[in-house]
Order: sequence, then structure tokens, then C-alpha cells
Amino acid sequence: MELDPDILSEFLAESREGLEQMDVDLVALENGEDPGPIIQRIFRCIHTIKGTSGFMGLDKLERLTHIGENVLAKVRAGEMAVTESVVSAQLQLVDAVRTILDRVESEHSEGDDDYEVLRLRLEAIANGEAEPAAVSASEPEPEAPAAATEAPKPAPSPRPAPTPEKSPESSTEHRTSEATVRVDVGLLDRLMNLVGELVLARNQLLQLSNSSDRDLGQATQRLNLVTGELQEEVMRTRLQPIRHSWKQFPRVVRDLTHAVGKRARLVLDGEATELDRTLIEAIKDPLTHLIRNAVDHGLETPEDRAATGKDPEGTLVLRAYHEGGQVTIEVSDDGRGIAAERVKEKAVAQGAISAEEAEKLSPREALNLIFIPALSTADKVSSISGRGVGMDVVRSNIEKIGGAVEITSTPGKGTTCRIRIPLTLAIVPALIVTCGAERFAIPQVSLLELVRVDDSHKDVDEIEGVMFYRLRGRLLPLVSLKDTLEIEGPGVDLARSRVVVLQSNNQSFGLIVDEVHDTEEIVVKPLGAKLRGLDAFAGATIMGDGSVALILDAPGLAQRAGVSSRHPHAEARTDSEDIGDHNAVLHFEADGGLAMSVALGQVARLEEINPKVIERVRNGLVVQYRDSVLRLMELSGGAPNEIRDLTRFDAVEEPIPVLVCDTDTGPIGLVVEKIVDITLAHQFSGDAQTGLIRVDGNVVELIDLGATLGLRSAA
Amino acid sequence: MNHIFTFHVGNLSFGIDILCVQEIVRYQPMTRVPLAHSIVRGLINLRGQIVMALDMRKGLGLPPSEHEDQMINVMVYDEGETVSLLVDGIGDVLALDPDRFESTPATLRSGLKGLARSVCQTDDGLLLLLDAQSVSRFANTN
Repeated sequence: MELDPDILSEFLAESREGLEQMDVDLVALENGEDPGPIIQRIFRCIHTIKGTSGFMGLDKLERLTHIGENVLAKVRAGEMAVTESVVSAQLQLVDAVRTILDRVESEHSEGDDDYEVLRLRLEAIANGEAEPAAVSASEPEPEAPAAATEAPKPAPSPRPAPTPEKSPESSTEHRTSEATVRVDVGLLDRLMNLVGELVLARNQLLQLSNSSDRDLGQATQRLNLVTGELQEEVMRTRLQPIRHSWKQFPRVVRDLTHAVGKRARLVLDGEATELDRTLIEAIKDPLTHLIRNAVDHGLETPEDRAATGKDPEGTLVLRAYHEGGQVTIEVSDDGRGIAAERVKEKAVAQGAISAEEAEKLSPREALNLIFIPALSTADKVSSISGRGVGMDVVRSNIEKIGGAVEITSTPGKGTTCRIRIPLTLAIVPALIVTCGAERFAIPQVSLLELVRVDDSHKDVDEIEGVMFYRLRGRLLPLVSLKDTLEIEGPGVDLARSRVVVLQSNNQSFGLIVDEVHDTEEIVVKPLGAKLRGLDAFAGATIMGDGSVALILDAPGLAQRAGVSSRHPHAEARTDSEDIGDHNAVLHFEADGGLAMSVALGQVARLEEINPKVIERVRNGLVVQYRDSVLRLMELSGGAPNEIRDLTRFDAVEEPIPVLVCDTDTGPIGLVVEKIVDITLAHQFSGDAQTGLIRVDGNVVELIDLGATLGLRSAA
Repeated sequence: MNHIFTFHVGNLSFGIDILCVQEIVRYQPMTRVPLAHSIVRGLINLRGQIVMALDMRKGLGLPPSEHEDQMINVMVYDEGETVSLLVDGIGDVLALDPDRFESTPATLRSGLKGLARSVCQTDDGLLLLLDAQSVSRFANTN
């Protein structure tokens, strides 16, 4: 079979699009929507495929679609009612046509399958006969996808009265074919590149036109405006309505509900919400998974629903909207909900967390345990879900594209899964920094704040070459960009540097750079395959002046610098690896100038408290602290005790240094005389947690707050 | 006849099939890539496309050029990407009979042997012939 490749690919693309629409339409038809325009559309689609396949010599396809068309013609003429069996048969036809099209594309032939079963079934329906008895569930239909192999329904029974309310998805907003043109995606990408170049040329021209020539000035101004608009419009061509990834869902829900014997209505809201086409592709699988979960686990059987006074037909809502420069997509059901306690029990039973950890979790945190790999809350495994793979994959897929996912649920009322993803990955806001002679871009998503180091460096501590910054009492590891990237030049001069606080895998660190510039919207371009191994970079971008700047990758940098706790740097840094962990100790002077230490991990924050804000309560002193009450304690006899002398701070003017520890009963502030330093403890005597340690040749006592205070997460 | 584009690095002459060459561009300002291998000289903005430039002198163990800004970018296709070879100068396009291509002499320096697919004797001396995979090998083995 000799087919013109251009005509063939056009035919394939067009037919597939038509079939997608047919999926949606057939389900809408079955749901009792106004059949007039829908039948017309389905008919036209099948008719076009039939006509073109005849023209191209695809006989099997032509025969099959011809019979399907006969059935539709009768429905259109009002001679036949839209029954479930009609819709099922038509959906099978859609699948069969798809399979043939795939064959045609890959092998340039229609395959050996003759779809006899389906043909007979369609013919029987067209002739108004009951379906032939020979068609039984056991008869294999080798090529049809699993979703369509459900057993054919017995005799065509008229559907129970169609539901009167129309679902909110409106089928009238389909664009007419004349208003759109099919464009190759590669062409769009090239257009995007060219516009980028145009913008650069314009920028240069703008600088040159600052001379006195008025006409030139005006012309460049106009060019400036046009270029700006052109850039915006070309960017928009990359955006697509989310509808494209939703087309399959009405069908998915229909097939699933039939397979598990439930009833559900899918409500689509915000189909016109636009986002980058690469993201649309990326969220398809996670969304499908969530919908399957919602039908299989979320919704109850019609009997159960009726028993609890709910509408026997469940409602699934798929909603998308723009919010704060991001796109939010929600999948909600009005099913049985998830009991946080059950998730906890499961997680503990499967060893994912300990019983103590489970107890401390809020219901919301407990729910999000279902994202832990291999945790399934389904009591029985079905073919659709319940194997415990899935939610973790959903989360990792979403996180891969810079998004986040969370779940909320009210037992008995339903569950909502909320996905937040960026509008586009191609253009991101980024902070431009310099280091040595090089410029780098830092994506705003990993940026927390900017800090300027005080001239006196009083907030900076150095432990064996590793620096820490005391940021509002919290210890922030500092990483020099210059050293991490091995950029030549003079060493780091903190007084003339800036600290950019970055977030990576729930850990923050400060990146020392030479200068901080503006934020800019940058176009992310991948690095070539040969440079992809450099995990410190997330890509490259072209700056306004036409030069190339590298985009820094916060997790990669953290890993390289050895501050990432999850993947400690393999070698050469063994002595600094445990900073921030139990080997780092905080030295302070307790009452009476007694030198003492505590493991850094046991202290949540360091604070200085104004003595004037200390308030007295019946059995001690407290301070209002971050929406809660901080109980003050003193160290006497090597252990924390309640402060007895309530007048102790009455005459004090200076701020009082306090070590804040999080305990089960709220934060506790340990009043000390002076905070001295943080070092790495090399030699412990006795066990590692408590005892005596050597610091600068002196022995000091290391106290353990964990035992006496009941520390929360004494890590 | 094969059309071979020639260029030179130090006192060595190289040739590559003209169909592997995208274009020739004068020396461009480059952005250094920290942590990358030393033969990666930097990234060039080639009309919106970001191209990695490989320093041929470095790869061949030659000292840096005295006239750095006169070096020339030979943009070659390499596994779907464009890579720039920074060379000292460019020569001609020669029409050569493939029968004249000989296998590389076994005594060639190992760096060169990995780079050159075959050699060809011309009136001006020995021409080391590269192919598209040479560039990948060059970037990977160095």
C-alpha cells in the first residue's frame, strides 16, 4: 500500500482528534444531553473517516465505519433510541478505529483482525434485532483496549429516564474549524527563538538610538512596542487550554464506573484554563490516576450511598483555575472520604512511620502520608487500584515539573486532591547574581530571602572552614558559590558579599555571591547532552545583552557543597559532614559563668529576649513568642528547672540570650548567661549524647535536654 | 567525490565532511562553564541557540593560542545538537576521492588516533579526516 506520508499523517491526526471528541460526545449522549447537535458531530466524524479511508484504500476501516454510520443514521432520524448498548457499541467502534489507525501508522497496513464480532453487533443494532446470542463475554477481541472488553450488555434496554439537569460542561464552545490552523510544534519553538533574538536586537537598537536623531528614536520606540507584543503573543501560542488533557476523562469515568458497578457524574470546570503544552502532557497521567482512585476508592456503591442518604449517583469534579501565577487543578469526589486515623494505622502497620511519630501528626499531615511509597489504604486490591503504587508516583511526577500536591478529606463527605503547578516551565522568574566575572540566574522558586552580612560578622560562625550564619537565631549553613563552582579569583570577602537564602529538599542554606542584581523573566534552555551531568546547573539562558548565563540548581548545589542531608557528599568532606547534626555542639555560659554545651540538634532557635516583655504567671515566667507562650527555664544543677526567683529580671536592661527548644508541651526558653560558639565536638567521653567533651583544650559538660524536656523531634 | 571542509589547529590539518558542518562563525564572547571539562571553553549564543564550544588546542594538548580572538568556530552537527570546534584557522573545501582515504597510522599519538577516522595525503601534506562521531568521542574521552 503506497500512501502519501503527508496525506496520511494529516488523516491520522484529524481522525484521532475526531475520535477523541467522539469519546466525549458519546458519553454526553448517554448522560441525556440534547442529542441533536451531538449526533450531528459524531455522524460527521465517522462519515469523514469513512470517506477518507475509502479514498485511501483502507477497506476494513471503511467497512467498519460504514456499519457504525448506519446505526448513527437511524439514531439521527429518530428511528432508534440512544440506549446503553448503542453507546457501548459505538465506543467499541472508536477503539477499533483507533487500533486500525495505529496499525496503519506503524505498519502501513490495517492488520489481520477483521472485527467480525463488532461488525455483527453493530449490524444487529442497525437492524433493530436483539444482539446475537453468540456474542458472549468469552469471545476474545484481541485488539481492543482493556476498557472496551467489558461484557456486552444483554438485550438493549432503554436507559432509565435521562437525568434532567445538564452538566455544566457546555458542548457549544467548540471552536469552528475555520478559525484554527494546525501548526507544527517545532515551528512554534523556532518562532520563540527568533522572537528572543528580535528582542535582543531591539535592546541593542534602543541603546544606540539614545542619540539626538528624533526620527530614529520614534521608529525604535514603535519597534519596541511591536516587539513586546509579538513576544507576548508568541509565548501564548505555547499555551493550550487544559481541555486537551481532559478529553479522555468522561470516557475513563464511564468505563470505570461500569466496571466496578458504581454510578458517577463527572463535572468539568475551567476547561479553558491555559497552560504550557508540555505541562498539559505531564499532568495527564497523574490526573488519570487520581480519577481512577476517586472512582475506585472514593465513591461508594449506589446502595451504600442511598443508605447514607446521598444521591446514588456520585459526583466527581475536575476543576482548574489560575491562582497567583500558578495553575491549580482539583480532583474532588463526594464519596466516603479518608479517615486520617486509618492512614496512620496503615502507615504504622507497614512500618513507614513509628507509632510515636504517628501520634504527633495533625490530621492533615496524616492524610498526606498516603504519598509515602507502597502505602495503600484500600482494603482489597482491585484491578484498578489498591496496589500501593501510585500516589507516590503522582507526587514525584508533579514535583518533577515544579509543582506540589496535597490532599484534604472529610470522612463521609468526600476527598479533594489539589495540584499546583507553574504556568510554564519555559519562562521562569529568576534572580540574577554575579560571582567573579560570571553571571548566574537563580530560579525564584528556590529562593527564600536575601541577607546582607553585617560588617562586624557577628552573625557568622566558622567551624573548621564551614561557615554558619545566625539568621534570626536559626543556624544557616553558608555555601560559597565561588568555592563550590571552583571559580578562580580572590577568596570570599564576606563584608562585600551578599547571602542568598535558598531552599532545597526542605533544607535551606545561604549561598554567598558577589553581587545581587534584578529579577528577570528568563527563558530556560536545556544544556547540551555533554553538559547534562553537571548537576549544579539546571540549564542556561540568554540575557538581555545576548550573552549566555547559567541557571543554578539549588538541590544540585546543596549536594555539591555537602549541605544536603539526604545525600551527604561522598568524600573529602567527612569532617564537616555532620554539621547541623548531633556532632555540632553549641557552647554557652550558664548561670554563674559555668561553661556548658548542648548538642545543636536539640536547640530549635537562638533568641534574645527583651526583659521588659517577660510576664509573670503563677508558677513561672513566660514570654509571648510567635503566637504561643514561651516558658522560661534556668539551668541549675546541670538540668533545666522552673525559675523560682520571679523578680530575677526586674533590674535587667540588656536583652537576655535564650535557647529555644520545642517540646511536646510547647516551646521552652532556656535562659543562659552568654552564647559562646558552635563547634564540632571531636571527643566525647562517655556516650555520645551526654558527658564531657573537650573544647580548645578545656573540658566542658555536655547536657542532654532531650531526656529532661521531652524534646519534639530531638534529631 | 567527497567534499571535505578543512581547517587547522597548530600545525595539524583536519578535514570533515562538508555535510557535517552547519556554519563557520568568527570568535564569539563565551560564558565559561564552571566544573565542566577543561576542553569545554564555554557557551555561545548562536542566534538564540546555546552552543557548547570545544577547545581543539586544549584537546590536542597544545598551548593556548596567542591570538585567541582570531580563533574560529566551526559549528558541526553532533547527535542532534550543534557543537562548536574552536580552531586556529580554516582552509578550503576539497573534492576528494574516497579511494584516497587511508586508515590512520598505528603510530599516531593516541589522542589523535581517537579523533581521526582516516587520513588522506594531499599536495599540502597529510589531512586528518574527522567524522560526526569524532566530535562526540573527542568530547567524551578527553
